[in-house]
Amino acid sequence: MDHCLRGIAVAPGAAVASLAWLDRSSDSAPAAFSPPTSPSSQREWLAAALSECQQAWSELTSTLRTRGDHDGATIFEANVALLDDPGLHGLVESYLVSGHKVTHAWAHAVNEQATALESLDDPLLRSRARDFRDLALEVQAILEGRSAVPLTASIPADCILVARRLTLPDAMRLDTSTLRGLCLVEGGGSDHVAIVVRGWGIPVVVGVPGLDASCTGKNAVLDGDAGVLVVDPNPRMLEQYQGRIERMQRFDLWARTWRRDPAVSRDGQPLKVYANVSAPTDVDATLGSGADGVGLLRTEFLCVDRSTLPTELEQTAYYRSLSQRLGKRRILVRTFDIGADKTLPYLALPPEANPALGCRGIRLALTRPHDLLFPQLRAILQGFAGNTARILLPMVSMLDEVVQVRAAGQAILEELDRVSVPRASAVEFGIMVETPAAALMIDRWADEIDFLSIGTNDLTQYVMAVDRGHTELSGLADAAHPPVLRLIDRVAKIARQHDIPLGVCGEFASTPVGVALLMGLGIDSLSVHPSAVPRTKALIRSLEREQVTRLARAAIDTHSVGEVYELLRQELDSDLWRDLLRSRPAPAMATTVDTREHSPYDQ
Amino acid sequence: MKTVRLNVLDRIGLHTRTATAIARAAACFEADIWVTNTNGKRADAKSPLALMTLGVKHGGEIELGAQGADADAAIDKLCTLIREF
Repeated sequence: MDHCLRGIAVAPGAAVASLAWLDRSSDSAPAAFSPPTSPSSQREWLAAALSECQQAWSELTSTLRTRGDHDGATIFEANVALLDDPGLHGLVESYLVSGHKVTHAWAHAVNEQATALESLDDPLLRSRARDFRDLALEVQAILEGRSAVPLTASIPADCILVARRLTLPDAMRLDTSTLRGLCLVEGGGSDHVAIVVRGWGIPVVVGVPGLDASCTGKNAVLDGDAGVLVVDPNPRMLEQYQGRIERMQRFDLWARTWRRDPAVSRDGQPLKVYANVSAPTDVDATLGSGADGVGLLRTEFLCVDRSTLPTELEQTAYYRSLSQRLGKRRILVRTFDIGADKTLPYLALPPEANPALGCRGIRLALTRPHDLLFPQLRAILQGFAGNTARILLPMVSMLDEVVQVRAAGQAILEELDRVSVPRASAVEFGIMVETPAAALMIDRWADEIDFLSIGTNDLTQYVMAVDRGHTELSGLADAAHPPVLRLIDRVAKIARQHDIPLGVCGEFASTPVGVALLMGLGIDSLSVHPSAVPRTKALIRSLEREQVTRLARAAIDTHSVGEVYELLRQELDSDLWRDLLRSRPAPAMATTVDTREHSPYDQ
Repeated sequence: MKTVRLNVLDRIGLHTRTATAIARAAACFEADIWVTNTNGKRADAKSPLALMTLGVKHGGEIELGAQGADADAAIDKLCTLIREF
């Protein structure tokens, strides 16, 4: 009899497989283990256990860094450092001195410290306390003679893993190549573990009650879109899900095979698909993904993990190497988009009540031109020597901002020419359309702008007046709301009239709903995460420009986002699109420097 | 002994990252160093866990104190560090 359990959807997709319960507490001490007894050997035992754990954790941190997850690595290191806390060790010592065994001393000292953090009623601290306890448990395991059983040994291949919870170190140790899905009893969507697992590409659902070891071996359907686990599904449901999974697999294979070809709609209309590059590691991914170019080069990563701003020389070297690797492909370089909410301590930016509405992006650059604006402009103009430099300005809300940057750019070009330094053969300036001001004024600004890129994430935030990181109101932070579509439509019309290339680089551009509507509104290009390029091209190829144009016009005329989705479901009713529309948009990939108010890497 | 009052400007106050940074810097000094919050609760500056339990939020005021041979240097170093948050 099928048993349907509801939880919180964390990562999209569907899987049909047998369940395997993960139970770490069953790791038992080998019979021959006898712990040391004298106080000095107890201390040595603890030191040895700590050292072994530190070694393993430092390997995990390196893995995170090589994967490009610097934020994750930094926070993991900070958590690990807590285990060296002198207060903690002082407590352990006092337990040892009063005659307790080290296993007891460690457990109780950890518990006292963790409870002190939890008692402050601060959810972030509670989350930290849990991470602290998890790490301490690994030390505890060694103290009790339980060797850490390698996780992969205890998990069968091709299963849906079920557990009460997953510690961050365990999540990082899992061999995900044969894992079909993950289901946790505890947890919420924004835990650290949730962030890590989203990048795995398998369905993940958390907060599913009523599961325990007895579920092992049972057949199940895990639906990462609806947030549901169905144990022992009936044949009809199995058939439906299996059909869906097979269609998606065929679609993904088709997308991967043809990713290098230009994306052309079923009725012959081309649409360019570019990649968003956030860090040097993305360049390889971009080249392999089939992207037609770089629709957004985020430059903030040049500023993180250091104690001073990058110099003109450093920046020039980077832009030059990028320009060489990507050749004549179109590259839009966005100048530093930083503000008070980004953790760049060396800039000593005064705190703001509303960083999303504060001094950031081009505003900040214009208040600090000598350290933020000029060096970057000079570096871009030199780095792209022999090519066209396309400079994209973030957070523009006044024409004067563009005019000033153009003037500065012109002065720099003249100076470089005067001293015969090689520089870009052509220069274009474009703006991010992310403020409502920009969207409303494009017609008047057209003469000063060479290209446009709509940042749907921020634009939606400002138009719908919702914090894009807000959990309860996340339904408002959706670009499919008619007011946002109307603004995009307006910008698209004006861009066409003035022959200005128009792209979209927000999360919306890689979702099925977004691709359909944006194509229908007449956008020239989409810029997405490198891993989403093949799929985005495939989505374009599955649509007819004429049909989505009609769809978009109708969507703009609706009263609400609900009507928009209804229209999409009615019009796009192929088996493929029925499956695609069932999926929620994939959550944003964590970037190194993130504009969200509540970064998942908050400590 | 030397004490100084300052505000913690980091967006989320004294949390893992900032607490660990302070503890690491404080560990280099011989002096006893402590941090007191506006409720009068005191924490050893060399203990990140203790610092975190002070519950200091963005903009919160703390009193930094040190006693010992290198107390002055310790205070200076930590003030610079905290001001850069």
